[in-house]
Amino acid sequence: MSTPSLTITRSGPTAHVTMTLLAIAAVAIAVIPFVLGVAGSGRAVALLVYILLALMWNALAGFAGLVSIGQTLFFGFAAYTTIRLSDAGLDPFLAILASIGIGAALGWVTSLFMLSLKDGEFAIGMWVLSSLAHLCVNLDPLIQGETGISLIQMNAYALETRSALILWLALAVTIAVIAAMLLLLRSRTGAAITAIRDDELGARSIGVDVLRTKRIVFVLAAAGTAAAGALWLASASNFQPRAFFGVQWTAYMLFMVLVGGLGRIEGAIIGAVLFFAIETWFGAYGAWYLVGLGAIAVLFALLLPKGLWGWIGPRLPGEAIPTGYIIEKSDI
Amino acid sequence: MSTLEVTDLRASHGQLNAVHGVSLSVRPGEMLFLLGSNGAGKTTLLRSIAGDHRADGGNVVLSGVDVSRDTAHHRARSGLSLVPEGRRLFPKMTVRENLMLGTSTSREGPWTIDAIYEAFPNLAKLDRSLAGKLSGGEQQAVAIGRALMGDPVAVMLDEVSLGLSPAAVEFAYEALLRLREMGLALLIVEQDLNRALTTADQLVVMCEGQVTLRATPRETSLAELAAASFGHKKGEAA
Amino acid sequence: MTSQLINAILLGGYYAVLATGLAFMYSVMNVINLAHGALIVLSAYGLWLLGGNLGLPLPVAMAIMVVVMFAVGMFLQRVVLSRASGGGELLPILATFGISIILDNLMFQVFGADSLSLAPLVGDLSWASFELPGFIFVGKTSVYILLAAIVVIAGLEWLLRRTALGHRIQAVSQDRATAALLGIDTQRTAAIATGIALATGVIAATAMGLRSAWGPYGGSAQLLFAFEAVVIGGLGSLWRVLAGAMVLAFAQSLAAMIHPQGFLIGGHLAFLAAVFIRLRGGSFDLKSLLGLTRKGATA
Repeated sequence: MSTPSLTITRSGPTAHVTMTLLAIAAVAIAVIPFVLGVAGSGRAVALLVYILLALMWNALAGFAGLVSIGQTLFFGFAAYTTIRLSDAGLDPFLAILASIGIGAALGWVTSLFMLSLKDGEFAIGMWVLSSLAHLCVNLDPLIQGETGISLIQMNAYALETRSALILWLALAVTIAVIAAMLLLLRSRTGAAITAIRDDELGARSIGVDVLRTKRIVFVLAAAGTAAAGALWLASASNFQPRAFFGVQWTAYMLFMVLVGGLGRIEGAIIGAVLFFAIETWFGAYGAWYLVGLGAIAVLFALLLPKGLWGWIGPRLPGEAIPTGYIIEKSDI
Repeated sequence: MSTLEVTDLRASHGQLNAVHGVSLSVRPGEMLFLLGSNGAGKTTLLRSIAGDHRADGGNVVLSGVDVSRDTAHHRARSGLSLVPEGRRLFPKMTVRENLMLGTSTSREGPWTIDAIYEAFPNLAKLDRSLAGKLSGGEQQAVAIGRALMGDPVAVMLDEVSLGLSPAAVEFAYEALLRLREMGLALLIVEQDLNRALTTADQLVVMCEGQVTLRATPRETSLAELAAASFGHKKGEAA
Repeated sequence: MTSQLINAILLGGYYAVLATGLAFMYSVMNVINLAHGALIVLSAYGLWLLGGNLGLPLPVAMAIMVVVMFAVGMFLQRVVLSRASGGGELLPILATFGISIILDNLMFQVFGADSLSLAPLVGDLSWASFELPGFIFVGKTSVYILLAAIVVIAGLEWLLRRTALGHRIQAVSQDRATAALLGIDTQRTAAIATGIALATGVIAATAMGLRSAWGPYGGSAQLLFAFEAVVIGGLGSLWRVLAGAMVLAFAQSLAAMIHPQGFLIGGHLAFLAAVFIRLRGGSFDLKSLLGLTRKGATA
């Protein structure tokens, strides 16, 4: 007589393929400084920053149901603290890491009162905070208002060394963020996140601590977005408040996540890569380019609200980035 | 000719089939009672007839006109009215304002605010009261009055006596009987089988989305109605 | 001091005009229209084209723009919002933000980066002033804008509470399904409500164009002012928007006296204070703020 047994695994063949592809992509990005030099490294950092922003905005909107128009609060403020800490004598790379921590702390403080606002009020309330941070940063004499300042402390490193280091740091941060999100989604909190995403009222009724779960995602998103801001500053080396607190960043995040697919890590990555390609080809068109981005984002929101991954995902055998369980029944 | 003719209506909630091909017809001045236990699909059937819930198939014909493809507000404007479960008044508006909303159908007919207050004398003194502050019976009267303000030809009422005092139920049915005399077609969902036996012209019992019994009160009994509510078809042993 | 007080009140009147359309849409349609500011700027360009280029008198230009923006609002509701609101609470926010990005940049492409003003359209009025006792001079346009705010709010309140259309709008916003069962065309009613909200934006655009110069990207600043006024005032009656706008203007004026660049910061801080007060039900309890009190212990 045979007894049925259950095999529980995390990932299927699709996941193995995706993970291998992601690993190859990571290695390819890591060797860019040796192949494509300083210019190539700069573009690669841009790609990683977009991926970080998309991942974090997706975590916020897709997992916690929080649409924020003001994530530039963390992006811009991290760039500012990096400047401030470097000016105070901290090594710029350490300043970047410290800024990520400050971003997380700012996220926690912000979450204490902002999470009580609902939907649209939260969205635009975050914008008010971002605007407030922008104004306060402008008051700092070091920044000289909208004139801005350079991260001159970076000049301690030779150009090639520094561009390679920034890229590797960006890569490490991105991998860490993806790993953190996977761990989070697979934990008990992950189950809570899925429950809230599917049905917030229902989740509340079965005892999910909705506020705590949202706060965890919000703080993670704050830290990741802060990392993106600090890395963008390191790569651009110029800090002009308007360029970091500007609303165009929100438009980019919205575009990447809506086009890629709200609520999925895969979607955020695809959206970021797509945005990177579009920006490379059409970025020079200025305002028309932004009109196009906005139009595409609105069309996706109205016609294909689950984005490209919402179309691709269900057609694949199994999850690409595994967050659930696969249960197989077999007879021994 | 029937005022309301429903043929083979099917409706579902997602994957779950709630109504499997129900047909019924109500003539002018006739009172059809729809009976059945909770979850039998009565509310879904009523909402599908009214266009508040999308039907998967079947036809709804009102005074000879097929309204199956019409939206809820078009059906209301064609003279089909639903008094939903729980009355669904607008609590922050006054009784008069609630009643006036009923005229959104823009139909011609005998009903005015004064006519409603004549039919439901207890509402006249509540004219300026907020609907949310009324008792259950008063709210039911406003809900029925609001439906009448649209001058319908057919009125469907979901759970007429739910949550009402016996006196309020009596009062509501007195009003409904007068509407029957006026020639309205009435489709009533009711839990009280006794009430149905004494008042109805036609009885339809549903169970799990299907009709299990059709009869006039004279042809059936309380026991038979109860059995049909639990899914026993006529002729089977209860 | 008195003149600063009077100026703050008049500024509050301006913010109230800005915020009324936003509050109307929020309370009636449950949508925070993130394109509100961009649509006001669009209306201002429309007024500038009609008044400046075609030489129409400002009242005529306003009348035309009211009709145009009403139609734009109906279109916005029917094509974008009705579709977006079917997909949960997030999509209307995303869609209206996308629209604001499109409008901002389109206006930049079409009208350029130059700052424009409607003041030339009204001639002497733009610098005329009332003289109050004590040699205090108050700009006439600012006074008219405050009056316009009161008239617009009173008008919308009257519409909502006293007219059949207003009751239908309330019915649709409170219980769409029941409204439809009563024979109300919910789509059309929602479209009319959005049209009305955008039509009031024309008055806001006139106020903006008369008070100051604007550019293609001016919408976001107007949106933030309007939003802050709405949150500070709180929902309920539209009169609260007027109160919120006054508080916002006072906070800004006060902060500007403390620090030359404090004007906007003061407004943002007032907004945060309002959020705090609402969050804590009026009491500042540090423990509960930090989430240290256990759930259930407060019951």
